[in-house]
Amino acid sequence: MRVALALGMLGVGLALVVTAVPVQAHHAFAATFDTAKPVVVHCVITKVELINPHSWFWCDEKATDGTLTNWGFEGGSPNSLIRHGVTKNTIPTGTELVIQGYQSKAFEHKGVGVNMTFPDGRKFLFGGSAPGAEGEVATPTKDEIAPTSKNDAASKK
Amino acid sequence: MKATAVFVFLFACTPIVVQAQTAVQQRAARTAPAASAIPTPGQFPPYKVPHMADGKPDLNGIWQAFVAADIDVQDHDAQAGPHPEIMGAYGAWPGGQGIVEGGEIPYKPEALEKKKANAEKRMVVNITSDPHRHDTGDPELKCYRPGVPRANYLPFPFQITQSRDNIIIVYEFGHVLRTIYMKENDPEAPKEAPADSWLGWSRGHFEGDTLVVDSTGFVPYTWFDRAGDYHSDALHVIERYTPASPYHIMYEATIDDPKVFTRPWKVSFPLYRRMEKNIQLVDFNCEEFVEKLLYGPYFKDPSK
Amino acid sequence: MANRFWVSSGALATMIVAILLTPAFVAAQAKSAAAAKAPAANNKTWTLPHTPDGQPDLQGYWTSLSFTPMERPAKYGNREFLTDEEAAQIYKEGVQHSYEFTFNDFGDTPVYDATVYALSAWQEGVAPNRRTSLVVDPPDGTIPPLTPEAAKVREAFRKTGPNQDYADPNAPVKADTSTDLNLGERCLSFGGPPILPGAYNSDFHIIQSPGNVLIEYEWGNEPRIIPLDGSPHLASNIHAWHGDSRGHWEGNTLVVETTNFRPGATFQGANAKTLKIKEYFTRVDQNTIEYKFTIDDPSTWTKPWSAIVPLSQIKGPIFEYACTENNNDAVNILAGARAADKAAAEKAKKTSGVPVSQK
Repeated sequence: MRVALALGMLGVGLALVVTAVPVQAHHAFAATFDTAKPVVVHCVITKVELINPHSWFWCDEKATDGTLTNWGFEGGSPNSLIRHGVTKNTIPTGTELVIQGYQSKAFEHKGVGVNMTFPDGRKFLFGGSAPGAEGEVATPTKDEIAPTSKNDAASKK
Repeated sequence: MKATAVFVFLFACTPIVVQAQTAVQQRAARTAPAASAIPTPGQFPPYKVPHMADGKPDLNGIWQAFVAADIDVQDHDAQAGPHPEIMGAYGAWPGGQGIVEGGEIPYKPEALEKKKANAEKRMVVNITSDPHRHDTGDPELKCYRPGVPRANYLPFPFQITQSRDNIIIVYEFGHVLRTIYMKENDPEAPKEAPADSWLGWSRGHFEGDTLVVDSTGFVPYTWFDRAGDYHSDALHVIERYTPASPYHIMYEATIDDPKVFTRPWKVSFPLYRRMEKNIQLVDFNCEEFVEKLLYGPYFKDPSK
Repeated sequence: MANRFWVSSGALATMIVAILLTPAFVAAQAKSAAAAKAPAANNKTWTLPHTPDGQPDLQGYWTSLSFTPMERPAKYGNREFLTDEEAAQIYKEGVQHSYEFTFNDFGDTPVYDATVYALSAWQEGVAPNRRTSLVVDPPDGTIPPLTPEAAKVREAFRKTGPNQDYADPNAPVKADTSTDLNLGERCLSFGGPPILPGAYNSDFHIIQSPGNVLIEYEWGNEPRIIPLDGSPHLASNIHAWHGDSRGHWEGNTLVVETTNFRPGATFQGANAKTLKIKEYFTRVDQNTIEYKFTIDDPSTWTKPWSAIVPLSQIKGPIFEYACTENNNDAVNILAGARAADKAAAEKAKKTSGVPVSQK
């Protein structure tokens, strides 16, 4: 999240803090990802990295001619997911996702995953869970795991 | 006068020398030396471990290994180290007797090739923003978490803090923190590792006075030493920490990885209690010493 | 669900008021840490647990997250506490904002959706707090002025330190070398002292042994070991990223004094040579530690100042936080800056009018 703004919403004053409070860990998103390069990628998970400081999801996008391009998308730290019961087995390889995000400035097939959903529009993991509702850990069924067959024009380079 | 003094001196010494030899012979004849005698390496008199208020053996303290296993867990000679033309004796690596019981690590033949490749490329550092960053290079060189059991035989002290439900080990190397979950049926510490980690997912219990720690859920990126000895994601380590005196813990670790080795194998060595008055860990935040190594290629001016 | 304060929207208001009115909660918010003791308002008296060796038990997993601002908004004047209705309202608004901030509009900033990863405040277990501000001394809830020399140091840092322009996400970020990134981006150090609310993963694991209290911060799994044995501090020419701490018990309060800070890595840029931080930990009920800190650095602030940050219990575990091992950020930030450099250089060549061969 744009953490500075998020903290403003939390009401926590942003006194200048030199030691590494988490708020500072994201100030350079602007250097990393390009708001002028939005992407939408339909792809199939090849590797899930539940790592810090950010999780990373590696995902094969299949072009209409069948060639595969492996994308990497940055997500959030997985530590809270783990407290909510998510494990390395929760998101199997082969899971189909639609990822809306922004490309990185330096690497063509890396980006930040802003909106991540299943093809039917359901939010990924706990996305969109409203306060008071049970969060969904969406484990796709076998029927939902299938190779992608279409490409959004915006994702073509 | 001088000759007489020498003669008297020699005459006076002789009975002492004779007595000393007899004592040595006597010591050799006993299997466990008395506490007041000079210890024999490898042998400890019987020891009753102090217990904590909750009845468990007390392992609190600052401990350190004094083996050369971080360089090579097997027997090895001293060697020059990297860039001897600059580093001289500063950078040379000591020889050491191995800590592997039985002497040799039982690699599968094809797995041994990867060990050799690791060793050849131990200083090849190529940091990308994807998993290929781990393809080459000793993780210790990069100040990454050293894994288990390597963290316990680095040439740095570590501190054991023991509460009833958790044992936390803090290693001076990189202030690495390792949690050992001690509570049986802990809802917050399931038996299976939720995700993979560099130090593994560790659950411990006591068998008599021995702390037994069972660890799984390792990423496949740590090494056992600078010689390229490695493991896969199937690594399973069982450690045993047995206090043997007020100043020693006898440590052993059984390493089981059917993807890499033909059978489980074991390392063992003593841990020594650091006895300096007011001893404490001193920061060794090596991350700051490796930035140029890791990120130099991405600097505006790589020569800076 | 993760947040024990959130049951359903309908029951929320009632529940919050009920919690805010529990004797322990009221007592925790109304007394200073040193005087706190278990209230005896009703039959269900909470008893302070002790470790097997007799220390008051602070152990468990705690979050410092709250919606309370560091400094007191002027409208509250010298009022230290909110009314129950105000506290409930602020909490409800905070939770709602943290949920709404989920990027339904894709055109928003280029960051991941925190709710996907259960990293929004309410998913992380934020608890309500009746205080108007974290700062409690000076009594107006604001941090005292800087000394003139400290103001100069801070201004210089603003100009030359790691870019901290939060206002414009598209402002060019200086990233020539890794030293242009901040300590967190470099995975060098996280976590104080003092303990403050963070945006997420603002969590701590506290364990106690007879001789030590150990605080693990989730970010980086950074350890602070606090000896209780009365041993002297480190020599003054040995420095520590988290300072060097010594603790002792005064009644039910753990008092921790920290010195030996590392120049260049101090709280709010304070002077490492003269900075002393004192902390007070008092468990006031099953789910709450009242944590107070006092910042004392006469060369930076004109007088010492203090704040109280409630620590609320959460579910564990704190998983490994291997930062430098997978620090893709450092690579991507530096490489992104190099790509921007290259683009700027190419643009300059095209627009300069001078043939390339003559440059």
